[in-house]
Amino acid sequence: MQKRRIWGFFAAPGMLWLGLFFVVAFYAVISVGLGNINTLYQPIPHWNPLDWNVGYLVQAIESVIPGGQNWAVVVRSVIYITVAIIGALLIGYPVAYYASRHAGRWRGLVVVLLILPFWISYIMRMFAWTNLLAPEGYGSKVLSALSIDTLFSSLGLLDGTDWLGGQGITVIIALIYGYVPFFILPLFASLDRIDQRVIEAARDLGAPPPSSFWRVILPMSKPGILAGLVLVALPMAGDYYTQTLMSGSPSTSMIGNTINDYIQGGPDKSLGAAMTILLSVVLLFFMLYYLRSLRREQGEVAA
Amino acid sequence: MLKEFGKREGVEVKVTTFDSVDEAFSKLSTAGLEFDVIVSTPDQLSKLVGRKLLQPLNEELVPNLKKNIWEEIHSPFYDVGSRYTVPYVVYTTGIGWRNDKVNVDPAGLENGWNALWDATSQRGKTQLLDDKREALGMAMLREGQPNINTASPEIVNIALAALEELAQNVRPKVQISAYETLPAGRITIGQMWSGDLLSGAINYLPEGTPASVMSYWYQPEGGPVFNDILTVAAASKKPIIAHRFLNYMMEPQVAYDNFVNYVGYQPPQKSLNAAKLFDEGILPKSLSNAVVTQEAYAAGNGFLTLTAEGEQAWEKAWSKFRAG
Amino acid sequence: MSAVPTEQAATSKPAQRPGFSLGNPWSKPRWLTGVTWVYILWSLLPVLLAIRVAFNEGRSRTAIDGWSLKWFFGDNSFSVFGDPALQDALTHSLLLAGLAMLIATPLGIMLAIGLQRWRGRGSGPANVVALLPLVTPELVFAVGLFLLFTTLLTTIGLGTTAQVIGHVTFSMSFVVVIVRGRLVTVGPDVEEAAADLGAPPLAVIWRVLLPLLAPAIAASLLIVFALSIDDFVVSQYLASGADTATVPMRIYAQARAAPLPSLNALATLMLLFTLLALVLAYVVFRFMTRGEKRGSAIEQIASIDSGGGR
Repeated sequence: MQKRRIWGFFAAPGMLWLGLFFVVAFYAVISVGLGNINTLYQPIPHWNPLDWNVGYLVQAIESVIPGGQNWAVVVRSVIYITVAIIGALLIGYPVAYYASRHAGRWRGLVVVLLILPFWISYIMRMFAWTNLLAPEGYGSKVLSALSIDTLFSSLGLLDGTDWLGGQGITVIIALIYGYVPFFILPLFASLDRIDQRVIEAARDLGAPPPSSFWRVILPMSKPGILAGLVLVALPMAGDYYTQTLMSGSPSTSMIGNTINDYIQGGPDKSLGAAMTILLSVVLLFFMLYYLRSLRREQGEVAA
Repeated sequence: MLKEFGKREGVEVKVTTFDSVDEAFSKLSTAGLEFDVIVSTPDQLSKLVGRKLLQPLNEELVPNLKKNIWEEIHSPFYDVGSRYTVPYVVYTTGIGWRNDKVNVDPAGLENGWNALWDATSQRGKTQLLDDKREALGMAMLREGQPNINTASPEIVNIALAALEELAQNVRPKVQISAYETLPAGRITIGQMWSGDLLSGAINYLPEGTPASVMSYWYQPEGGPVFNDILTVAAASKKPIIAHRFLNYMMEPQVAYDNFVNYVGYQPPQKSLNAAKLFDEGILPKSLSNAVVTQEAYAAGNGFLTLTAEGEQAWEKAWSKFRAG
Repeated sequence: MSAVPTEQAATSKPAQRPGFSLGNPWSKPRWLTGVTWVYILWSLLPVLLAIRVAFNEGRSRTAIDGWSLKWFFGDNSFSVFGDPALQDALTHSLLLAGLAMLIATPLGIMLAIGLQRWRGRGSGPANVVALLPLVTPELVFAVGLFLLFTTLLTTIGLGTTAQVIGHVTFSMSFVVVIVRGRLVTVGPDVEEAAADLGAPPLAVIWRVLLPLLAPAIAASLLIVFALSIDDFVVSQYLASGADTATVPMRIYAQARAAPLPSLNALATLMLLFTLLALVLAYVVFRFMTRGEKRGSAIEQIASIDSGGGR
């Protein structure tokens, strides 16, 4: 194409917007986190890197290492997220697999039904669950009838009979419910791209079905799985509303709650900003990993 | 009743609520919010004034203060001369419970607060107020520490340990919605304000549930008794109407109406005869101790502004508690 | 790659045909079908139930209790149209979604076109920045904007403007992904042909490229609308008061207490608007791509969604 420059101008308004409201916004977090507070506990950002005050960052780091005030929250968040993404994998993989390879004439319908949760607000989906799991709700009754509550109690997973009474297991299941659609769809697209001919090749070479799955399809779906796991783990790391709705108790609070409490709740905004910086640094690796896999996929589609 | 005022003055009244006083202060002190009237608590007053969020009241526009309100609050120690505030409602903080679901008698216990601490059978169905002053303050009283405005980190940490024990025992939800959740039975026992009980009894009982299932207890001497305050925002675009609103809320009929029909929190009106309300069945007898008397108020223990170190200590303890 | 296996197939035993016999191991495993449909039910039933409760006669929000529209239109102060708080939330949500849609789509389209063609220095980092919002947790993003509007851009401050800006910023990346996908499908051929025929570059864009992008534009409008109306975290952080509450914020605030079916009614209405937008976009999409060779339209939408989740 001739005029190369014009394309740069095209991108300009969007880039300026993102530059200001995304990049500068993030810089504001850094400046506040590495800034100070005034006598009324409102944050003073230190915009100039030479002025940066690491006090709050140090405090934040000290609170998240073992023995620190927030260490328990960090451990709990990691546990909840790990269990939740494994749950999403166990539930989501078979569904994505079915939808991409075995749905036959139902495929269109299945895909529509799988997309539907995207159009329903996350909060509304959680709200539906608070009604179900209330002591007099249908969900509680069904779980009782199936004796699942006694099963979980005996396993030490459930404390008492109230699913909404500060139970970690409820929060984990809610996280799975909330985020598994975001795992299934990309995985579906990725599995869909696995060339049918490779399967047929395996079959022609005499591989029985289980083997063709474990040794051909599963390895090929690994990038899709990893990308999907990262994709759902990221929002979980910033989630605070799921546990507030489904539990409300400090004993199930996640790292998102801690940051939310600091920023929204009071005189420690600078500490909250510092914790946000820490969280972002930890997640940055995963974010970039996912972006790279996204670009690779887009490149494949183009080819 | 807000609509009444609106009609009278030709304005529309909109109400914004926040989840906790801390969040309110946080949002109020950041830029550009256009409120006319701010409802708050006395311990926030010096912060609000310091941040220049309030304007001094024009006494002439709020004559109902001297006319109708208890003398004790004409010139309260938190705002001598009532320069910035008029009182809104008075309340105590104590323990409310569903007597049909759990059988406790705090008045009969040596340390009434233990009714909550020992309510292990109600795990997950309990409430702790989402207010660092109230929560830690209650813990201090339970531990026998009478000064709920202390800046001492030692005492604050004793309170924190007691709260952590509470969390272990009864796994409370940290909220302020007991006025709805207690009548509905989602909470069966918890820390709440006296007005929550009355408001719940008046407005939120499901059909078929009588008000007598709810009970209340508060520590008679040294327990938290205080009032909310009404103030006019410095950024108000309609300060005169804002003043008139404050005056309106102090009219006996309006205040009474607000109390009995809406919020369940009692106004410090001279003309209000609490006993009469119970006798006439307007309020349920079982909650007779949820009404604050003038004597109780005068002898009360209120939450005042903390020093900077105190604020830090309380905040640190509360964050630690919230982190689980 | 496919050449080798077929050669070998010719020399090994003949392949079994699928669906041939009862004991055929290559047919569809039943349990997989079961799992999928059970999942779909589990996924959608709670929401369907919540919608049904909105039509309750009684006050219960956990059990089905008669049929009535009173939570929607009743003249008591508890219905959606009787309670100004609920009504304002709905109108505010629609307002934000509409504004976000109108601002994010053009910006995103231009950004996508520019990025796709830009080969110079800085295009790498620009690409990363354009897509970073997709993977940033909403809380981090919301905290950033909150602090930005309260410390630096205090003239804008919190409120509707801030909320719109927030919604536009995180939706833009979705638009970029969608439009890029379409650009790749369309390819440079038609544009190059137009340019070769002497059309000036702006005319090429306006009269050739944009019409070709129409389905992506329709999809973008829809996605931005849906993202905005369903958004919670950014809206809550940038809200300034009762005036600026959105439907998800209301649901969150009231769900923690003891809500009435009117809350379900509000959520149902929000869902209704989203589905209306979806149907509209689908119709427009089919209309715009009629005559084009394509896979099932549904799969195209699915592949768009695979670019990112929220």
